[in-house]
Amino acid sequence: MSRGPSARQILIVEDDRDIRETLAEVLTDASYEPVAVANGREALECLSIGIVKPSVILLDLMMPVMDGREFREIQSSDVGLSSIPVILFTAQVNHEHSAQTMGNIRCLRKPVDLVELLQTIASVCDDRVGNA
Amino acid sequence: MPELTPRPISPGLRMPEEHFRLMVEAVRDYAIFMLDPDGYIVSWNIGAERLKGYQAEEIIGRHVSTFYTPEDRERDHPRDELRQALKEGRYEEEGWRVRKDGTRFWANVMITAIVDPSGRHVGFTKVTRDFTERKAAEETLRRSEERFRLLIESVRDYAIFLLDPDGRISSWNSGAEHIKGYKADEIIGKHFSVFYPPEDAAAGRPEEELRVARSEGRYEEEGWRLRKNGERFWANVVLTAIYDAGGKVRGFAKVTRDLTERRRMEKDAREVARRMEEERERAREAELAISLRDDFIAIAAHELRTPLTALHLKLQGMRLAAASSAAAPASESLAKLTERLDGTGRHVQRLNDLVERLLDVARIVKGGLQMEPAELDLAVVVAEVVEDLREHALGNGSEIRLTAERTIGNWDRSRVEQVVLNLLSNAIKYGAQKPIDVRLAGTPDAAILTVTDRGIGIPAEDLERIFGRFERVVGDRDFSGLGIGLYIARHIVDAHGGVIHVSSAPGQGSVFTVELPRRLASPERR
Repeated sequence: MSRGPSARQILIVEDDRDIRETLAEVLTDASYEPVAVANGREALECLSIGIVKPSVILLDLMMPVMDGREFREIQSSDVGLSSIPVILFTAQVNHEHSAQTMGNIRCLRKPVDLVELLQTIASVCDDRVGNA
Repeated sequence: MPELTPRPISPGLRMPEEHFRLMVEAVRDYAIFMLDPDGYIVSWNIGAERLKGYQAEEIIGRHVSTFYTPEDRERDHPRDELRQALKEGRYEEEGWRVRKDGTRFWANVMITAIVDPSGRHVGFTKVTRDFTERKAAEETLRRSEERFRLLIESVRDYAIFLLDPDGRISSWNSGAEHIKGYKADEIIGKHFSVFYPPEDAAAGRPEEELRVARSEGRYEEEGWRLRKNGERFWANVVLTAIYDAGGKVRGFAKVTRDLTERRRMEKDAREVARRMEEERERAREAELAISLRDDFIAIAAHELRTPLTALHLKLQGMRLAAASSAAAPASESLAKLTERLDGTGRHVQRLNDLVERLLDVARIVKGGLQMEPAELDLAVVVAEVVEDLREHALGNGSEIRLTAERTIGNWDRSRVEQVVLNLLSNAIKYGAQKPIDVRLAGTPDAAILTVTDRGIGIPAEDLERIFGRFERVVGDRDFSGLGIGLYIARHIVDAHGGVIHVSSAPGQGSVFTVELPRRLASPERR
């Protein structure tokens, strides 16, 4: 286990600045280390050059430049990145269907309950630690 | 003695009497026999024998009344005939006669008085032919014609009548009475032009139709005709020439149908079809409008949810922080709380802006925006909006370059601000991280504002559409926003009596130009 400082790192992929910043704020309060980017392409850039090694990726669905679905396709087919768990974070009504079609990932609907968000992140991190 | 007509015979043509007798006796198809002046039979031929059934020896010497019916004998008809023949020289008639066996036959009878060269009446010749079959045929024909006439007369749905060669009516059926309203005795003998509207009659249409029927044998048309009460009806008319045996026109048969009802039904059917098409068109438009509105509601809901999500998270975060920081120094947690509360203010402002935009749409749809113009320098307003958005633009990779000269006029400050904000936000959103130029210049009458980006541009077919309600050229997958910014901007500019237009090409960026009159035109002039 050489994750070290990255163990509580969370990558936030969200185009809306207000939501992005607020998520970072509340996750910081909960002792996580959030890194926030505005779309899928920025997320892939950060991941590929290795400046972030998150335990969880919090992914919005509708974004300009590269949306959540496209990001997920690339991420899940990349051996270096596919092991990182993804939580879909969307305003879509049929969010569960979206989550299923994207490799059966966890899904939260906006506006999200913070306690539920923290619990979900914690359980995904624990699964990952347990599986590792 | 009545006057007699002598029949002298030229002596050169006289044939031997014996030959003549033999010839007469041999004629089979005519009964030819002689009577004495009192009507007693004195000669008999084969034809008489065949026709009447008597042998010569049976009948010679008997009175001619033997061949007559009891009724004729009763009224002394046989003697009348002879008297007539004696008086006129000859007598001809058709009538019933009786054979030896009692059966009757229809006879054509010619009786001629015979006078010798000295003028003495010596008797009669009588020639009789059997016309029974011809009479039966004539009767059959007469009955057939009668039936046909009754049939024609009884037809009610067609006016069928005859015209003489000059166009005067000579027969009339019940259909004609029914359709045209005239009784037979009112119309027979009148010219058929009475059925035509005055303008057609004056133009010689009836005569023209007769001329065509005379030369072509037939004329057909549909047109307006008049009833007796003056009402017009739409008629199908067929005029057929009737020729005599010599090929000369004896008259015309005219058949007229009243198609008014059919024409009305066809017209109704077309009208119904047209209305249905209109309804379908309206339904399609309504569906489109509803679909646009539904899209708009979905977009609006999404747009409202975004700041709500941020606000919701923020408030929950503050609550968690408050619960967990009970042990922390009060001043520290209070400072943090204040900072967070400032953040919530921004989210609430954003929600408020969105709600305002939605209300703007509702106001425009309901009857226009109310302007509150006041004298101001537009350069100041534009500069403020640019400053507000400068950081946001840089975050999107675009530098805003402003050139604004002092431009004084009467405008609604907050509304004009909204226009600048909308145009600039669009330029940032679609500006492809390239510099954006904002220029403001004044003419004596107006302010001219241009916002130029170097971004993705707008296809020609979308240039008009972008100012419509709920329109957005690019799908919402890539660009968020209500899609009503330009719609509102156009209505604000309209309300100021100005114009807004765009020139753009895909990949070439867009130039939005707003021209605002310095003074709001008075309502009378607008």
